[in-house]
Parts: sequence; structure tokens; C-alpha cells
Amino acid sequence: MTARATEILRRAGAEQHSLEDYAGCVPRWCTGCGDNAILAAVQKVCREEQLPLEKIVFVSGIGCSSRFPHYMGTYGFHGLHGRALPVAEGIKMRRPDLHVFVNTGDGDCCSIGAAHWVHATRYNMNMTVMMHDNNIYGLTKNQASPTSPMGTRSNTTPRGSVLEPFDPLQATLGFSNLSFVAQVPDWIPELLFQVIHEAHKHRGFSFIRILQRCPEFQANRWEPCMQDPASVRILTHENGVKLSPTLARAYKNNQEHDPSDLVEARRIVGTSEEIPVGIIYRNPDVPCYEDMRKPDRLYTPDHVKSGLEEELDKFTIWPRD
Amino acid sequence: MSVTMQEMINFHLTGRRGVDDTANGPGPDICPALLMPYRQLSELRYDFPLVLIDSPANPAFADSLTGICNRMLRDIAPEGNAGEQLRQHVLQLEKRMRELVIDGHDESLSQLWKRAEKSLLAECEEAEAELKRNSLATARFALKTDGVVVNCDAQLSSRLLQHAFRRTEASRTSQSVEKIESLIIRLRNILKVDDLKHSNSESPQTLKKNLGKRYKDSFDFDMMSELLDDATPQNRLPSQRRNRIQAALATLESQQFFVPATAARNKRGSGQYEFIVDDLSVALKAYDERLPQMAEVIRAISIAELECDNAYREEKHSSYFDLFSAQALAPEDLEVFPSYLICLHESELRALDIARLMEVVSSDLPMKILLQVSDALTHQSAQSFTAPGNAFVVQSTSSNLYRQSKAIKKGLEFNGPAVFSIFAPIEALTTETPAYLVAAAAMESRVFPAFSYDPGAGAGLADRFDISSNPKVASDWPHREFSYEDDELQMIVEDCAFTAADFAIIDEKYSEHFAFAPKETWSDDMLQVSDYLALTDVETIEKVPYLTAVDGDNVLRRFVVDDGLIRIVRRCRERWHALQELGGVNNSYASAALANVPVAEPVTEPAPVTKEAVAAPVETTVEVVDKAEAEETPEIASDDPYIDTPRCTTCDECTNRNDRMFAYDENKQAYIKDPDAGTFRQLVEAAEECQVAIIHPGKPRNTDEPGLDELIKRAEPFMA
Repeated sequence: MTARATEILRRAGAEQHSLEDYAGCVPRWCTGCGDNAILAAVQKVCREEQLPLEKIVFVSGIGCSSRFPHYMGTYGFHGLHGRALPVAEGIKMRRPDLHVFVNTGDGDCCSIGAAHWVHATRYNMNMTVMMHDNNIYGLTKNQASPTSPMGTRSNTTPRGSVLEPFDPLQATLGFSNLSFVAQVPDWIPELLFQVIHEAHKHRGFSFIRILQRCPEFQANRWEPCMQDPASVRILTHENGVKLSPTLARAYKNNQEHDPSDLVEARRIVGTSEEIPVGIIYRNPDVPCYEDMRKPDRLYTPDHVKSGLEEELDKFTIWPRD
Repeated sequence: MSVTMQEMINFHLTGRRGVDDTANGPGPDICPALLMPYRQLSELRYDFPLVLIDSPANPAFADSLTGICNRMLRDIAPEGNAGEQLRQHVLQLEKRMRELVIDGHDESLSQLWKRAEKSLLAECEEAEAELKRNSLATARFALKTDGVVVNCDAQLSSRLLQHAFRRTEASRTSQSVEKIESLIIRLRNILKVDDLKHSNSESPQTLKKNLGKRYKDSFDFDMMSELLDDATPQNRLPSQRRNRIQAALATLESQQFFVPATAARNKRGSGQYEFIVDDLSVALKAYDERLPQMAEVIRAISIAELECDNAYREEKHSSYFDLFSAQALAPEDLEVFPSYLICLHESELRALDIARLMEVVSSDLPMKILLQVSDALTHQSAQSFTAPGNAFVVQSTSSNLYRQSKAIKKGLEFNGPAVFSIFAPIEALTTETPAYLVAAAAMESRVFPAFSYDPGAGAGLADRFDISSNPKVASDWPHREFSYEDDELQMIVEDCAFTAADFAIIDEKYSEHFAFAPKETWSDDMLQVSDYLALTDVETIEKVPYLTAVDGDNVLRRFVVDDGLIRIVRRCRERWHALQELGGVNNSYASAALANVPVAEPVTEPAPVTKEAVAAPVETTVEVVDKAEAEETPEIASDDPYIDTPRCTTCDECTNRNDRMFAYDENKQAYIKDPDAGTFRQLVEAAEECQVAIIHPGKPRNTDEPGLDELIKRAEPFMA
């Protein structure tokens, strides 16, 4: 409930934010790094929604991707390796009015932070999670990550990695209480913007796997896909991604996919030879944890004080009468 | 024709019994035949008594005792024989509780349970009592609901509506309450921080007091005060802002519309306005008088919201708030304030009250009006309140209130006026028939049909009117089978309609409309009321309508009905027809339109789809698309360098190479800012390095540039 006058006066006095307003420090990512494209898309989403700067928080763990909060002119929390999600959950729980974004990498999310990822999906708190998947630990200079293709030569796997790569999409589509899953490459800017925008608008835990280029340590990883638009299958739907005429001319490999169909989503992710991109699954009806656990009363100073007194009294030794 | 028959015809036509005839009116023990099986209500399990639920966690405001017991038994009693004993004991207790309520016990379910249990156990021997005690203890443990238990009596509608109103309003205004409490805390915090900047807060005395006696010798409080004084920011709130915050805070703290949640929990809340009244003019006067204060509260909320977000701009906002008054209140502002419940008795309404009532239902005022009706046959139908079209209207009998609880809740939540017209018989005026049965008979007989009218339910009247809770909505009267034994002890089954005359015979006021017809006078010229109503005027000559009833000794009786009552019955049927039509049943317009529909022509097969037929439009489409594409794509001279900007991934490759030649647009995507700000080599190398291959170098602009032949060759793949 907000008084109508407040809304009118706020709108009348509101400043229009430009892309520069959302920019923070100058990015120190490598030239040609896909993170630059993600940063530009996110800033465009913020501008599109005219999100108030003081109502945005970017939370990250450790890795190249996790430098993200520094480059946004908003609040941010550059946390511990793999622990971006618990911090973001804490922020959302206490300040549900904030727009919470999480930037995490394939190592940060799928390895050390995997347990948090499983439960954050289950908690379904309203936040936008971008997993920058460049298939490598880049910040620490070339170690194989869970999503590195088999045979990846790196400092930790000099003879080539021996395990099949971990598929974050197949994994997340198996988690309970799933609400939003998407996949998008960083090299199709229009699509990247559209998917992040839709994820932000979705009320719930929106997980986006972003296929990210790393020109230093995985230089040729996505090269074939970038050269051959047919290797990318764009999933379109009125409740999902919509192609502009320009994009439709370049990317002809399209498939109509209803994002509410979980079985079909699992089939596409599990069997498609081409890279499926777009909104893979969306269920707006899953309740958010912060709504379920919203306190039924306002924490007034009196209420907090009486609660503390009550707890402390349990340990008080009362003098005998 | 016998003389007695003539007397009956005379009675039917004149409504007067002869001086020495044998006809008598119905006694107090007379009951319409179809109601007879329900006379002993305490033996039956039905909707009543109701429990008025207190807990806000339960979305329903009332539940039936039978429903509560059923759900409890489903949870705790094992299926089959294993749970039979527990079921029996709980059902016995339920019956005892029902008897106690009928006897006038007015208390909460938990208290009633204890009383009934005590009474039940007192009647048993010790061994049986022990078994029952165990069963009932198990059941009591599973009892999750509590609240006052009410029966279907004359006070039911008022008690139920007031309870539902309080529950609905508490839920509806909870957001406003929380908002105001939260704003009060935040405004206090702003002032508190400002106070802390005041030098007094850092005086040695204050510091000593705050740290407590135990540390009084551990610190140099004079030094601490000096240090803190230097470290504290000196920017105090401007006095104008401080005054504004204090004024808004004072308004929010002293407002009398909302009970703060803490006060409500502590059962406080005195000093708050009363919103339940029994006089319409009092409610209207209170609303008018409180309007300026409502504007003050909204103004204070708005100022507080802006101040808390640091968004208050004195130069822009102060002049607006100076002019803010009740006129500036928008409907959405008014919606946050509590509604008013006005409990009225139809019999006590004066002409002025009725005019005011119509004025309210034509307005958007948040008035919920309970209209208690005690004479169903002469009442004004609540249908008239639907005429203005913007009021939510519910008409129901007290017996049907539980079934209508969803409509009642919706009406109370409705943003605008709502009328609840409820028929509840005054027990003193009725015969031995229980109030519940009288009310149920009023609905069953179409005397007081139930309906709800929701202005927001759709564009058409059939969407807005809901008559589905009436029995057999498509018929004039509900028909039921009635079976009895004749003189030879043979079972006879008759089809009986329950008409308005069946309702009238229960009410002593209408007893003069009936004349007893002894069995020896029964003949084929006597027709049941429903059959009689189906005849034309000519066909009714020499016929008399009768009603089948049962007396206190369970003996079947017939009563002749006079023409005066038959006219009332006809009027009830006509009103019911009008309601049926509004509710989408037997719509006269639809029937007329259907009658005029010509016989359908045989459907012709669609022309077969030929290749030619398909090809033509496709060609046109392609042409159109191509044309559109041609319009969309800007013409670029192949000699000029360009970037396919929408596909740029912002990777910084080109801008790092030459930021005077390559630049980012407002979407942070690259374009060629100045093709002459660099060399053709830089263009070609940028095109080669671009990961998404969107840089097109064009032709060299400086023909003197060294190595051009090789560069032109390298540029060729990017010229497409």
C-alpha cells in the first residue's frame, strides 16, 4: 500500500537513468571476454526497467565473472568462493524490496557452490542468477572446471581432462521447486538482453546459464557455434523468447517450445545436438520462500525488546522470595 | 356437489369461514407435509450450529459444527470397525452440543464441548464412561477450531455479519496498519539519529548514564565526550524538515482509523473510531465528518513515505501538500480506510431511511448494510438494490447463511456499498416449527429466494446474478416425494411441490388463509396448490386449492387455501421468474430469439484446397516480406566501412584498437565513429579480430596507404 500522491510525486521527480548511471569501475576483463557483453546487457536491462540505483544489489562469489559488482554503479557484495547464493538469499530475506542479481561462474556455482545452488533453486527466492559458463577457471589462470569439455588441457589436467563435462541445465531441471531456467550465448546481444530481461521480470529464482567466451584459455571453444548460426537452436514461444525479423534472418534454426512444459524441457536439454537457447522452463506459480517466511507482524522495537527479554529471562537466576 | 364442498369454495373465494361450518384454521402444531421429517432438528446433522472462527490463520470466518466433527473424525478415527467406537462417541457429543445450543447455551466451542462431555459422561456407568472419556480426550486434542457457537435464531444474521465484518476489515486493513506502524518506526529513527547528533547525547553525564554504574570509574567520560563530539557529524536536520517529520509522525500516531497491531494483540484499541452502527444517518454523518481526517492521514503517509526514501523535494512537494485536502483523495486512497457496517431492521425503516439507503447503494461509499427481514411474505426484494448497478447485493435466509459465506465475504471485501438482506423469523411469532426450518422453508418455497449480485463479476446480468444456491433453479417450485400410510396401512407416494402456501401455513399471521378440510370432503375437485396455479381462470371454476400438512400426532391433513393467499403465491412465483431470468434461467429474450431462428441450411463443403490456391498468397507474402526487409535495411554504399551494430557483443576489441575510429553507441554497441580517424589496416585487422565478424572494412579511403593490395585481399571475406 502506497499513497497515490507519493507515486505521482515520485514519478514527477524521478530522474531518467542512462546506461552510464549503471556503470561502475572500468572493467578489467580481457579484451574479447564475453563478460563484457553480459555487463552491457545487464546495464541495458536496468536502464529499460529504470531500476533505482539504490535498490539494486549484485552479489558474486570468486572468479572472473564475480568481478561483476565492481563494474556496476549499484550496491554489490563480492563474496567468498561459491557462497554468492547464501549471501544473496540473506539480502533478499531481509530486504525483499531490493532487486537482487547474482553473478557466478561455472567453477563457483557447479563446484564449490553446488550445494548452495541446489537449495537456492529449491528456496525459489526472487532473484536473477547469471552463471557465466566459460568452461574454465580463468581468474586463477587455466584450470579445468566442472563444465570443461573432455580432453581440456589445463594446468590441473595437462594431459587433458578425463571426465565428461557436467551439464548445469540437466542438473537444474532435476532440482525441486524449479521456477525459471534459461540458456543463452553471450555473442547474440539481442537474445542475451531479452533472456536477462525476462529472467528479471520473472518472480522467483531465475537461473540463466550464459555460454561465455574466454579468449585466453578457451579461445576456440565457441568458435564453431559463432561461425555457424545453425548450431544454435533458438527456442521461441509467446511466453518465451521472441525473434526480431533481423535475428530471424540470421538464425533460422528455431523451435517452438512452451516453457511451461517441464518434460519437453528435459527432453530438449538431454537430447538436442544443437545448443538450445532461450527460456527452457518457466513456472510463475512456485511460491517464493521470502513470501512464505514473511513475518506475520512488524518487528517493532518493543516487539524485539520483549522477545530478547523473554529469551534472556530463561537464563536468569531469580532470587528466592 | 356436496354442501361442504360449496362451503370450501366460498371460503376459497371470500377468505371467510361460515358461521356453522366445520372448517377450522391450522393449529400451532401443523407442519407442511414435506417439512415433517425434519421437525426434530436435534436428531439431525445439518449446517447449524455454526462456530464463529476467531483465528486469522483460518480463512473461513465460520464453520459448521457438523463439518468440524466430520473433518476431525476423518483425521483421527481409523476406517472400519477400529474407529467405530470413537466415531459413535464423537457423534453423541455433537448431538449433545446441538441440544445444549438449542436450549440457549451461548458460549465458545471449547466451553460447550466441556459442558456436553460432562453431561454425557454423567449419564453413563463407570466402565462406559471411561471408554467415552478416552475417546473424547483424543478428539478434543485434535480439535483445532474455536470460537463462539451460534444457532440459527433471530440474532444470527447480526452476529455472523458483525463477526465476518471484523475479520474481513482486520485482514483488509492489515496492510495499512503495517504501513503506518512501519512509517512511524522509520520517522522516529530519523528523528532519533538527529537527536544523537545533539551535543547533549555526548555529554559526560549522558555517557556515564548510558554505560551504567559498573563502569563509572573505568572511563574518563569528559575525554570520551570531547572525542565523540569531534567525531560526530554536525549536519543536523533542517528545522523545516524536522517540523515536517514531527507533524507527519504526530498525525500517524494519533489517527483513529486503524488499530495498531500491537494494541490489537493486547486487546487495546480504545480511542479508535467505531465502524459498526445501527443507524444509517449516523454512519453517513461520521463518514462526512471523518473525511478531512482521512485526507490528513493520507497526506501524512505520503510525506512520511517521501521522507523515509529521502525523496521529499521541498521546492516541488511542499506547495502540493499545502493544498492537499479531502478533494484530492483518490478512490484508491479511500479504499485503505475501514468500511462501515450498518445493521438495520426492515420493519423499523422509515421513508427517509429507505431514501438514504437507495442513495448509499447508488454511491461509491464503503457502507455495508445488513437489512434484517422478519416478514418474508411482505418484504421488499433486495433485487431493487441491484438497480443502480454498483452495489454488491446478497439476499439469503438465515438458514442459508453458511452456504452463502463466500458471497458474504466477497460482499464485505467489495470496494463500494454492499447490502445483505437476510430473512430471520422472529421466534415468538412462529408456530412450534424451529426458526431454522421456517427460514429454510422461506427459501425453498421461493418466498425469500437466495441470490447474490456482484457488479464486478462480468458485463452481463447473468454473470453478475447468482441464484445457484436455490433448490431446483429451473422449476417454478421444488418438487419432492412425500410418502405416508393410508387407512389400510399401505404406503402411498405423492409428488408434492413446496410452494409459498407451505411457508405461509407455518406462520400464525397467515392462518386465516387456511381452512381445514375433513377427510370426508376430499374429492377430485380439490387440487394441490401447484396444480391449481397451473390452470387457467376458466378451469379453476368449481375447484379449490389445498395444502397437505401433518399435525402434531403425525396425522395427514388437508387445508383449503383462500384466493388472497393464492394471489400472494402467484406474486412469489412471478418474482421468482424475474430472478430466474436475471440469473440466466428461462431467459425470455433468448427464448424469443430461438423461436425466430430459421431452420439451418445444410452445411456446404468447403472448396478443396488446391496447390494453386495456396501458392498465390504465399507468393504475395514473400513479396511483402521482401519489400518490408528492403525497407528495414538501410542502404549502405559498399565502399564505406560499417559495423553490424545490433550484433556487437561489447568485447572491447575494436575500441581498444582505435577508440577514435570505433566507439560505442548509447546501447554500448560498436559503430564506426570516424572512418578517417585510422588506417585501412586497422579496419581490416579489427574485422579479422572481431569474434562475431560484424566489421565490414569497405574500400580503402587513402589510396596511398602502403600494402593495400594485400589488405584488400584480407578484407574480401568481410565484404558480404
